[in-house]
Amino acid sequence: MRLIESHDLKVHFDSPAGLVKAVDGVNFHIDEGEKLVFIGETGSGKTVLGMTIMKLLPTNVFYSGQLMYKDKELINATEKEMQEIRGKNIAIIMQNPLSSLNPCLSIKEHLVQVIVKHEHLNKKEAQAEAERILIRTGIPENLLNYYTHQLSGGLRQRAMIALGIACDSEILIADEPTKGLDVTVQMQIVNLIKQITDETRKAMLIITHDLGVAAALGDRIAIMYCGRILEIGTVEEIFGSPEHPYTIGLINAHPSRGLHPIKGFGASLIDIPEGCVFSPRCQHANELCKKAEPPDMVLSETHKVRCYYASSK
Amino acid sequence: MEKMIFRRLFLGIFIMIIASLLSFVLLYLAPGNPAENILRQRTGEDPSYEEIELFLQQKDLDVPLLTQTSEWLYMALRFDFGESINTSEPVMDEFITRFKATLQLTLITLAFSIPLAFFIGVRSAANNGGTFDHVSRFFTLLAMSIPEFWLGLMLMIVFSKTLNWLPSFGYGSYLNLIMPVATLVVGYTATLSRVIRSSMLENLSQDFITTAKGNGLSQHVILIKYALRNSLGPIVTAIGSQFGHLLAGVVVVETVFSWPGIGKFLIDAVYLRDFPVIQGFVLLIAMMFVVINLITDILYTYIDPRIRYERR
Repeated sequence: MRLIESHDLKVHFDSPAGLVKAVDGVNFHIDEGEKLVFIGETGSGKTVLGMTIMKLLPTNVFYSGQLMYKDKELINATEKEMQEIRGKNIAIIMQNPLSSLNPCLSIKEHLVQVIVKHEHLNKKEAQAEAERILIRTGIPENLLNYYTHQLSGGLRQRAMIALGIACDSEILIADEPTKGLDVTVQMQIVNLIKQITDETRKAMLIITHDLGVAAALGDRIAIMYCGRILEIGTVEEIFGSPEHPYTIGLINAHPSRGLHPIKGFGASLIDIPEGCVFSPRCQHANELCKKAEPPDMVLSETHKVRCYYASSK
Repeated sequence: MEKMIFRRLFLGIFIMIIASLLSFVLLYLAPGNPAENILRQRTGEDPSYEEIELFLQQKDLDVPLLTQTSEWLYMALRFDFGESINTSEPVMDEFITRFKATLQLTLITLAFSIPLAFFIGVRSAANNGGTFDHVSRFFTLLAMSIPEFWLGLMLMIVFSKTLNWLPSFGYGSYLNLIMPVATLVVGYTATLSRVIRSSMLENLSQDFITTAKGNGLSQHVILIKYALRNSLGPIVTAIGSQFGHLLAGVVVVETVFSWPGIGKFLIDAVYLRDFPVIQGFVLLIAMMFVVINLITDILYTYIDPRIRYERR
């Protein structure tokens, strides 16, 4: 069953410097039990995309296009309707658990709040449930009443994950779940997310800039740049036969491939380049690329790429 | 925690002694002396040199400054603050009567202004940029800008003179309390509600609020358990300092309504250079500030789990 589907989704912000086109015409879908990874540089619009699904963006935002959760249109959903969906149907693991958790609540109290809200249990049952979930994410039993400032980075991230899975939502959005952690702890967190979501066959939308995380967690990968999906395909297609010059550049920039940086900087979301958005940084760009934006080229049922010269390089 | 309390109380004793000695020295440096001022007030004429000398002798004020100070300090440590030069009444007795009147004014003012300020501040923050916010910001700014003496006099003109509903001065009945309390509540509510609003807004823009929203929690829970809970630090500090200032006497309001509180009495004592009264009052007021600050700091540990005094 299709859980999330978007058509030409645009998310723009009004700012003093001009209209910020953070997400600019994005099409994707997530099916039941499927894990879709969004990869992109800072400022590519991937976090905004995650927050759009939860409708958690500030008030200066404009949406257009279509964003469906099952048969519910989310763009026009009221705040009241969203309150029921958030945490219950679609849950989110936020970036930076230290600032994303309330410093005045213990980690257990965080979960109790959510469980009481969505599961209609009484306080006592909710506490038992919260304890069960926290222990499941690997937090030692004697630390359940601790506050975030008393925990290590890894344990904080585990608490954040516990909060994300507290009400057994169908979809879990994970926004940079390994950001700011040691490499060894990153590995543990990735394994934990994998184990929990595999057990429950939970659908996931993972936002990251780490190719390793994407390969470990994802079924499909979407490469984001300048608010657009430049290439989308299964993990095998993206890593095995990348077609977009940007995807190839990202993979070659990985230390295991020799750390070759992509020239230039990510484009501004206010002054989006004409033609193909990647053309100013692309070695293969020609007149056509600079004039008109390429359409999605369909390479297979799952593999789409936004480049005129796909499969000809 | 106990260690912290003991250390703070110990330091508090020094703060109190230094505060009263400083006030003593500053008054000596200021022109005019008690004999001259008190005698002039009594007779309405400039006293002669002989009269002043006699007065100083009678009141033991002709001994050296250092002797006076050390004697006073020795007595003060046993909670004996001596007698007023002017009235010869014991300072402590006077203080207790005055303090009762001031405490009454303080507690009733805060009992009205704290809940009102929370209501206005929290609603204003929740409604940031909306109608309620704009209206409340306008009125709180207005209320903060109105001088107390003017508001007090206006209330008097309307309710005592024109409508003849309330007594314009006096002490004893609850009717006497209405106008002084109203005058104080306006200013204190406005100041506190602004502190609450800005502290709430600061916390409402934090990441953990987004997380709480992302968990589907209701606006009410987010406002109270997340934003307000984290805003309590500055709010308690503000309430503590308001409490201290009110207890130290609200000179203007007490003068306008002839309220027999600490503030008015202290100002009179300063004018007459009535040293024992000034020193005693300063010491007791300093003590109240020390205690209030200590209570505020203890409350902090309950408010913010990040603050703990055990490990140091």
